[in-house]
Amino acid sequence: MANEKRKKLTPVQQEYHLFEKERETKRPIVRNCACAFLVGGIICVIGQAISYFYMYFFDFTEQTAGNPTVATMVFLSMILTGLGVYDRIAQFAGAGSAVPVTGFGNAVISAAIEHRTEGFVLGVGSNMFKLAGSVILFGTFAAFVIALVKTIATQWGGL
Amino acid sequence: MLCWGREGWQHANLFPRFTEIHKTNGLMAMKTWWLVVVSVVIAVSGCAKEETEQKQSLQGANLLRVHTSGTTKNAELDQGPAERAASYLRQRDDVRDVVAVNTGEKLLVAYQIPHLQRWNRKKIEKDVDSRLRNMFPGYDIISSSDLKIFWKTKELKANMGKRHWDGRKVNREIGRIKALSKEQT
Amino acid sequence: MLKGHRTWVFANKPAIIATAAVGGPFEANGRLADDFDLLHEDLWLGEESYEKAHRVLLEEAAFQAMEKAGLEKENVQFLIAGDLINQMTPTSFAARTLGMPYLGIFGACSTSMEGLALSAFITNYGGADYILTGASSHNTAVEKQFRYPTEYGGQKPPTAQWTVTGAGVAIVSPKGDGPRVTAATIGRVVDMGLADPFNMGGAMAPAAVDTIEAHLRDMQIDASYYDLIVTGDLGRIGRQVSLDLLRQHGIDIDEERYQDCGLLIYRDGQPVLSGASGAACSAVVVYGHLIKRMRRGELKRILAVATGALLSPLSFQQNETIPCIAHAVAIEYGGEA
Repeated sequence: MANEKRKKLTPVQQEYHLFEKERETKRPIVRNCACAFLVGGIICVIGQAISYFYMYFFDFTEQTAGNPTVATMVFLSMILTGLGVYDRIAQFAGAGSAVPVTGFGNAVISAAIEHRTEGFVLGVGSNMFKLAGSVILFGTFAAFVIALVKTIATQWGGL
Repeated sequence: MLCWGREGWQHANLFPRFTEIHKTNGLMAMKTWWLVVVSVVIAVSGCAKEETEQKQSLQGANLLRVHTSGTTKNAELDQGPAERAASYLRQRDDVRDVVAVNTGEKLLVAYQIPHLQRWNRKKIEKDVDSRLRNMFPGYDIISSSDLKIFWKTKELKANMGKRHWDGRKVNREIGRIKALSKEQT
Repeated sequence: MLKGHRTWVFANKPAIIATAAVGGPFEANGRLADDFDLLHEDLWLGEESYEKAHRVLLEEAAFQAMEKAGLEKENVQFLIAGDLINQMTPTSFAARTLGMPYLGIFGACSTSMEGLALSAFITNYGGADYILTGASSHNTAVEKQFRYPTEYGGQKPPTAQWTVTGAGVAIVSPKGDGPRVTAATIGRVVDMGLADPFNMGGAMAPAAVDTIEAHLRDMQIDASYYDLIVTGDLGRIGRQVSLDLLRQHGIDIDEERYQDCGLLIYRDGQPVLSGASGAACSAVVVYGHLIKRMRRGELKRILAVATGALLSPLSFQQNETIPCIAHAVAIEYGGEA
């Protein structure tokens, strides 16, 4: 993507790009990956602990414990976002806190909190899914496509 | 610091010095604090009460205590089929732990699958189910690899032995466990 | 008077008779906290929204400056100011409070020097007795508009910058005592094809270099004429890039004398990644810190080069690159030739 853009640039601009690239602070990719791995893993451990908690103390099976677990994780994410702590965890963890369902919760909740000043209907209501909207849209669309592929494969491919 | 202000919860700095100090120490203090919190959570989660699983190997021993109280109902508590099912499953590689209970009509088998075999869970479940149906044609087979069903079956077995439940009660319990295993949401 | 291609030289040398700088909690923790007139503990300032708090920042700075100059609102002829928010509503609403004739300007983060250049020009030619000029920005209001909701957990790269919460204003007058504005160079838009909104320092550096070169060429002086050349908000990366670019273009600048407001305002321990930015960055550092230093006699001649990135969230989504601009103003006190 960056290379494509660079081709439309004049030679002076391309030269500057290379000049600037040398002096830019690079993202610490290895460190970011390690932090993401650790924090993502910890969040999942907490999720598993919550799952076991529900299975042990209540009448949930492994199958049905998924629902209350996700609800609890989103609730925790809501508390952390509201207290202003989640974005600091995220600056450290990157994808580790953005990928689990807590990250999805954070996206929706932070947008809802932010637009409170514009009222409930036009502010919170319209802007709440500013970030999560694409997740929902493309997730549903992808599910549809996969289901289609699977149907065709089973009908014709005999899979 | 969150305070109830004019417009709901607001950020108000009640302890400016405190937050200053924390902010000045910046990322290091945050990291340390989080590390401590996370380690405490992990440590505490290890204190969850777990029933011991050694009882499995003693399965055959206690439960053949036949009560000679004179009623015919108690004779139905013969756990022969359950033992046979359990011993068959135990010799399979892809099953880790088994507990089984039976009455005259029903046979409830709960097992656990080793972690790496969870990829083939559905296949194993289907296979075990069909094998058990072949082995015990006269019984209503309920088999599950679910952890909760496993715990419940163990509990049922323990209760059966301790409280000398009769066939009817056990049937009812097995029915409950079956309903639980069929739940989707 | 126009000198060279795009530099104004002010024969009457209008003076900056008073300045004021207001800041937020982050700035209160920073290195220049003592140079602020007013510091706030939180970002709400007792208001209902961040945008309203943003307006309050500019109002407070304006009142502080007028008090220091011994002026009433009615004495000031014009208000020339701007900010980063859509349609500049915080500045316009502050102008409503202040009640003086208002010229809203937009130069992104270069607004402060754009305003100072225009104010000096107008007062130099007798167009006003007193002009109030400045710029302001508010961290969360800007983040909300340009990037993501403030509590969103998106990881920022090390090239990103932290928007200053604050306002810096100055009162310019043809008469009176204070550091004098001697010249100003108006920048032109420079776009080197960078498109990453998280790396504005790298995008703005060429604009700063272009303006500094034009200034030195038009005025026919070299960089050693100034005790300090300070850029607005290039940050660590932009400063390094611009320094190397200037040297490459044959302009010899002493590294000690080439500073950046974005690097001066915060301490090392604060999580600001590559440095500070925002319209208020250059405003509070120049009007708060540097003018004070000049009054104390530590600096005699400075060139303040405020840099701005003229993008919008929409332009970035439409795959546009980031055009940038830089305006330079020369301020002297006690060292005029």
